[in-house]
Amino acid sequence: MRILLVEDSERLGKALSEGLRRNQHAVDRVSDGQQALVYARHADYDVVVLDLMLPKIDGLTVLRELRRSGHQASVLILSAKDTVQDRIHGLHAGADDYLVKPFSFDELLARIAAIARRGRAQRDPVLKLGCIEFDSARRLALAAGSALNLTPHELVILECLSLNRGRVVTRQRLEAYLYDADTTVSSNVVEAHVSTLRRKLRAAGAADLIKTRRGAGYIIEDA
Amino acid sequence: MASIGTRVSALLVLGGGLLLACAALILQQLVAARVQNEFDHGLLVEARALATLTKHTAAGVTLDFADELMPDFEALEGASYFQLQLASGALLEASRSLGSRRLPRLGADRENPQYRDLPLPDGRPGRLVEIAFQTQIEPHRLRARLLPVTAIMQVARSREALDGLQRNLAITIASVSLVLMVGLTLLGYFGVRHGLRPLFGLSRQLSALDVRNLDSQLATSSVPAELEPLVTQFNAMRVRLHRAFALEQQFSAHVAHEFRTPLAELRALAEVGALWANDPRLVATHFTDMLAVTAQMERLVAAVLALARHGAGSAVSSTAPAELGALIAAAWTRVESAARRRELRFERSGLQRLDVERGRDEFEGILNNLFDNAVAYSPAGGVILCTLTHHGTRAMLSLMNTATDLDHSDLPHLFQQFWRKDPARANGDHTGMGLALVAAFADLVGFEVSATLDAECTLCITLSGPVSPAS
Repeated sequence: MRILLVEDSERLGKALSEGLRRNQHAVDRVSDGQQALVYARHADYDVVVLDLMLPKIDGLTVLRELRRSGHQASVLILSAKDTVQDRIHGLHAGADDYLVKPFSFDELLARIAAIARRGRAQRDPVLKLGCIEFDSARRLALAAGSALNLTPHELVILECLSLNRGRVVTRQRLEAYLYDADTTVSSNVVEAHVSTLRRKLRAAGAADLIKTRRGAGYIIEDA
Repeated sequence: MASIGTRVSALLVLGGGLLLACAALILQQLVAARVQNEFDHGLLVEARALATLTKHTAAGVTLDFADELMPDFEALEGASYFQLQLASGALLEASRSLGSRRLPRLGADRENPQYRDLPLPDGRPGRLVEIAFQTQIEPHRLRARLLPVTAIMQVARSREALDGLQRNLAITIASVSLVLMVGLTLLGYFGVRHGLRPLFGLSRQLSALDVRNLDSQLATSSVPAELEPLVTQFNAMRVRLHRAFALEQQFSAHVAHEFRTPLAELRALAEVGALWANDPRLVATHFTDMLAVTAQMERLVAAVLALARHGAGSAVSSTAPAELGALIAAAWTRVESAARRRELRFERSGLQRLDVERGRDEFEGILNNLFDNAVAYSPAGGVILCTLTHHGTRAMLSLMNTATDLDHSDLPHLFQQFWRKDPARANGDHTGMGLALVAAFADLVGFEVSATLDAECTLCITLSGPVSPAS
């Protein structure tokens, strides 16, 4: 998942982005509201994790601006403001969820996954892809009940394609899903990961699950 | 407990009643005594009149008594009585009404007539007077060489009329007293209720006050002069309490809020570090960050405690003398490397040395906080100017730096706890307590602190206070 983390606390931002990256999310971290709007305009994020009290432009203004400009990313507010009124304001401004500091990192992960699912109108975290099942909550690919031995990057590619089933996903989008804006990767890295993923899926009996649309990208077709 | 109205009414009625009863009793006694005196005087006049009828001749002492002129002494019922005898006890004359009975002797002498209550021979209550007198010898009898003798005249009369009069007077006085008592009770009750009406009104107002809502006040329009200070002070106290509660709530909210972010940092660093505990680089980085967070929290706790102690009046300034010039130099040295990174320049003017008698720790705290703020909030490449002067018994220390983020509306908030220009609290090393601590420390050492901002956005924080002339 591609996540924009907007947090002005240097240490908190660093710890969260580290944890999210190690959970196979591509994370861009910014520390003020102005930067948040710039990043949101130039990249397609699945989830925005947004602090409220930000320098330059406050979080609620950022959120309203995102919604006004038609941004569809799910937004999770992270704030030290804990009153009911604060939560109501945040949710009315267009947030999908509200988490009060301090919080459990596992809960943050679970809420990010939940609001991402809600954003895709997907209630069941388990996606059925022929003989393969992808559990987006546990981030596991299963074949006949057994977990496939996929690398984190392969899992992310499978997640991205399965969540966008029936639609072509470009290489650039897959690349953005895999890596944050600060990471430089070689041009064929996505092809290499897709290739090894296909080999493992074939071994599990799902040979033609991922199809190539020449010049466009990859697709998992609807059943 | 009984109400003030009931107690005052009861005291008034009891006190008034007691006074009235005493007055009535005294009046009754005086009137009864006066009436008895009048009665006794009548008896005495009568006895003396009878005594003047006594004749002393050679034949002896006789009473020239005419029955028809004094029929009272002759009647068989309701009669009066007299008895004339010599001092030796020899009876000379007695009223017919006395018959063979005799009146008792009382032992009167010529100067002192004697009185006594006694039952009359016919059984009625009566009163007896006894006088002693010398018989008068007519001048033409003096040649007979008669010598006057002492005779005793006793007159007794029924005192039924006297007793009846005294009884009637007592009943009249008691009745009047009772009526006065009832009147006094009613007057006391209604008078007290009328007099205490403002107090009852105040009581109703107080009962209607909501203890959870300190906004409402007591009306002062109809309060009497005696209660006005009470109401005014009460209202002022509610205002102060309201402010104090609001400040306390605000303070608690601020403290909770200030701790949430570092706690979130600590928890995130710990949880993420624990999830990848086998990555020594990550763990080491997180431990370093956690240490920095705890140091920040320690500073916050220390500041909160220092301000709480100062607020409670339990803070005591250090007794160690301070040399302000050296403390300024030390405070600058502490932030010099950070200032150099931001290309800030430091300049000093005025005195290089100034001794104060006490408060070394407080001045150190003041200067450290001022320099921390100046270095953190001055724009890169700016100048920090510190001036130390001394006029008579007053010292003045000022620190000037450019503060482009501030405007004049911020000045009243500068020394408030937790106030920061940037509500985002992006600078995690600052808690918004620095200038509040400066104000508290300055107060502790008897210095005044103020802040000004000029048109070029130069913020000047000035401390001034007394120092000994020897400084």
